[in-house]
Amino acid sequence: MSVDKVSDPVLAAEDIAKVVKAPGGGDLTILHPLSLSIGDGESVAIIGPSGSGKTTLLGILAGLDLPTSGSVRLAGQALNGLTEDERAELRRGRVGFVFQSFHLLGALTALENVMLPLELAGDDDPAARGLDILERVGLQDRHDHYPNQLSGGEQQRVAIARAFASRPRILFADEPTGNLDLETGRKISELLFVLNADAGTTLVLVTHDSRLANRCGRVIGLEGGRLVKSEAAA
Amino acid sequence: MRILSTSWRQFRRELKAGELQALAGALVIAVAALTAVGAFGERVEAGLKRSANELIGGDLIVVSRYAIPDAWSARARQLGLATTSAVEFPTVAFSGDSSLLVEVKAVSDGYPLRGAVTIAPDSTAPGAAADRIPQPGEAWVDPRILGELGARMGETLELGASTYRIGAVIRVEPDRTGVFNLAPRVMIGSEGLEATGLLGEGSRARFRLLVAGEADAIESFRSWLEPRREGAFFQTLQESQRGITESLDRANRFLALAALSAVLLAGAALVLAAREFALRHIDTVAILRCLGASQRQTLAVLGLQLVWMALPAIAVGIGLGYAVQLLLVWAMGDLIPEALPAATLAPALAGIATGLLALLGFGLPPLIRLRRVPPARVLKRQDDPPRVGDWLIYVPPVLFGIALIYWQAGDLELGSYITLGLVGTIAILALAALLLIWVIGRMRGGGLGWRYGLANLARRRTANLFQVAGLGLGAMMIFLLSVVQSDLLASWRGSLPEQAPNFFLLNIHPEQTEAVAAALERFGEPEIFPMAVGKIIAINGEAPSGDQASRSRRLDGTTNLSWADELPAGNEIIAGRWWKDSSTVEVSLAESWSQRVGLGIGDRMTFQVGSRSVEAEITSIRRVDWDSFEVNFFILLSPGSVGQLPANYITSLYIPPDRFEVLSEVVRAYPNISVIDVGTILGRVRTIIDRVSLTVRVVFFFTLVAGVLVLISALRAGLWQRIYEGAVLRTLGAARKQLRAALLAEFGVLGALAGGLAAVAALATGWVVAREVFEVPYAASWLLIPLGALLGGCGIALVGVLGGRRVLTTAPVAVLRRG
Repeated sequence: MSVDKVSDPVLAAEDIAKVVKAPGGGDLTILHPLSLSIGDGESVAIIGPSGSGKTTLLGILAGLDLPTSGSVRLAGQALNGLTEDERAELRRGRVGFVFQSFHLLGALTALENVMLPLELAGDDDPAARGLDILERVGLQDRHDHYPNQLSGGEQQRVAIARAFASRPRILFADEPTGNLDLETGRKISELLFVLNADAGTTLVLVTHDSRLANRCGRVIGLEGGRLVKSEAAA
Repeated sequence: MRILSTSWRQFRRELKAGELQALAGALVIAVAALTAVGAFGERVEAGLKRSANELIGGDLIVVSRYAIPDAWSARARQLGLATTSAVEFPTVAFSGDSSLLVEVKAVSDGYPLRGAVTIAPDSTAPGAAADRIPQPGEAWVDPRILGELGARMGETLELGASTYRIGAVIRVEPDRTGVFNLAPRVMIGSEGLEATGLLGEGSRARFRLLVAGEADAIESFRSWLEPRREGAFFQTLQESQRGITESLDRANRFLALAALSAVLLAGAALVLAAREFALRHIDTVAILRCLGASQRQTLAVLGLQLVWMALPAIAVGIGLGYAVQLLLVWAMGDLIPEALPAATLAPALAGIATGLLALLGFGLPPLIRLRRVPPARVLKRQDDPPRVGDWLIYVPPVLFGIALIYWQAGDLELGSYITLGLVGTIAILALAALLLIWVIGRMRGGGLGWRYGLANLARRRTANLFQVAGLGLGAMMIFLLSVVQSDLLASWRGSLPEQAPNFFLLNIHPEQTEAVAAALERFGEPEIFPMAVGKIIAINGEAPSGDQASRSRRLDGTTNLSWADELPAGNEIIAGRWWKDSSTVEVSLAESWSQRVGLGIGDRMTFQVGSRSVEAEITSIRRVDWDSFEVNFFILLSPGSVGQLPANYITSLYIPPDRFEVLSEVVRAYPNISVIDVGTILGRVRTIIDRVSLTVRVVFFFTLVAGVLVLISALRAGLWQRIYEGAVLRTLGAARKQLRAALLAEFGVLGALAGGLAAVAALATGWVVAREVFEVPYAASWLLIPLGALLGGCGIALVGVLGGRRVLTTAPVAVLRRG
């Protein structure tokens, strides 16, 4: 079993494992039991080759998915035993996401996408905050554009604005630069870290990109579903 | 979260993207169909009620075969009621050398008490309400009389021993209901009636006392008269309008079912479109869930979009429904009262309710499945493995559909038929489709496009099952409405033969039968039946129960009896046996009558005719073809039962229109014989059939549109998947031609399957409807099956390729970037 602990964690996983039914029958272990904890304001990169279980781990840590065994505490609350809706409520306003494929809602404008988590969290003036944060990512002039009118880099900037809009305590990013060219990816990661530093948000990042990983305070390595490394970034 | 505003914004975007039209269209059709039929039915009913009293000429009518005693009208006047009287009887009118069978109505001052007779100075002039009755020596006539007798205004008309001057043409006679206009009307004043000598013994006159006034006084008069009325009866609205009510009932039932088929199909389109809507929003749901929206919130955001779509759709549906009911009123023509009251808001409210319920029952259940979209889908897009219980979301639409069926059918048995038929049809369609898809999936060979198309068909088995069932259902409705409906109507009309008897001759004295038969032998050999008017005085030795008594006889308490050696043509023994020996004492009953009165084989009946009584045992039950217009009797006795009962004779025969003068000869020779012109009734029945089928077609147009919507919705399902795969294939170097061939193969085979199966289902449905509803034999057009397959194959292939244009034209890179 792999263990990695910090004191006063904002996110703590205890012996979590994920086993799924293999298509041909039998079990397939995606994550072997592992424990880890992440402190408030810390930035952690999860790295590893394809199929090593990085994204599965991120999903479990964020409460999007449940482990087969083990427990997760997010922002001081145990996820085990919570219903889907209770986990959603826990995420609301406290957790932000940035995805590889942006996942903006095509039916909403850039501003409306950014306003979405604010509205969900019951913010009084979501439009003002939305415009404010869009300005921070340099897209205030494009606020009424729909996602299909924006480039990949712009879409990811909107996604980052959306992730930070509700001032989450913890931000999960899944290959945030994976769909972008090198130069755009560099700008996006820059933006991500600047906003993160400003807000003091805890950041959990899954990436292939070692340069991106090295900007984090700690790097966790996975291989074949096992935790093989947890050390301060180079 | 501001669910309202978020859903509204998404809705506007969906609208722009054109993703909601099929849903909206289906809802418009469902609401319009029900509103149109509802408003139409309501207006006709209200119209009949309002003009009810005008239709019988007073508030209460007393009808008798004998002259109305003066004491009755005196009593009515005592109670403060207005009264007048009228006598009606058939006779032959002469003008110069021409003669014509007419219905005379002799009216007294004050007629009619409700409504007015509209008359005109000649047959082309506009009519005006008459403020008097015909003066002595004056006759008002139906315009037909002028034409058929070749008479002009002011010329004379002989009725019996009297001569009348034609003074006016009757445009509207309030208490003559439109359906059964027998011979044309001649209206005279009652003053000179006696002088005509036409009201002698054996005349078929009907005497009417018309009464009008306060409802309380009418009621007291009625209760006063009840114990004294003897053979007379009260004419109620139902009685006087039975013909019109029955045909309107039949029309309304058809219309309700036609509307139902539209609503059910629209429901199927709603389910399919909503399912597609749900599938397209899986990612949206995952993202919203990921951002912390609860299941309720996400469902509300999506469900409300359907509501935003539904509100204007329902409004449009109601508007369309009201417009179409105007069309229905027009199509019904003179079968319904001329000035109908305006439609009320009730059908609109029912339309709103139906629309919202349809949305709830058909549209929302597919969204429920979105509750289970895992938020982790944002990280790894995996297709949800189909889980057990998915079919549960189709339970509410099916239950809702069944509830609708029972509501519209308004009849448990009919509702069950339709439900079973529909469920069976869908099950058979799906099973047959499954089998055929399995077979086709094993066929290989042909070019890349063909092979890929067929492989797709087999691979997307579940989706294709839906499509074949949906397409099949839509196509089945279309076939039912076009081919099968015309077959059915042709069969129905065919059940009224062109050469059906058009005249009944009644009151033929026994000694006249041979001479009458000889005079009419040119027109075939009409069967002449004896007819006696009797009373049923006992059943199984006891006086008939009140219920049996009221069901077994006419309003005046009598029953017609006849007797015969041989089973008459058009009769079929369904229980017991026909008498072998005419000397036995037996009775045979018509099926419908025996069921109504509750009698069967072995029961004994005692009849009284004049001073004689006859007791006989029921030994057979007959099924009688009443539609044939031949003379038929509920009660037939064996000749041995009757001995020498006092009887007159009756016959029916077909006389071609150019030979009607034969009847005049017969009537001149034997003035006691009454002639009834059923040709007019037949013509009227045909008109009713034509009008009813026209209105049914109007409503079926909705069904047709709903069927097309089902086709569109079924084809849209899976379009995005096809676009994506097309893009992948094109990156691999597939030419558009090959992709087009694949689409053609897949949709062509799908359409041919659906079309062929739909034709089979439509023919089977037609057969059942012909047997159970119309009770006519059904001549199926078997050619419909290959034709259906061909039409389905070509049509769906064409629509598929047109609809799948985006598969061919969307740039692969755009598709693949979207992932």
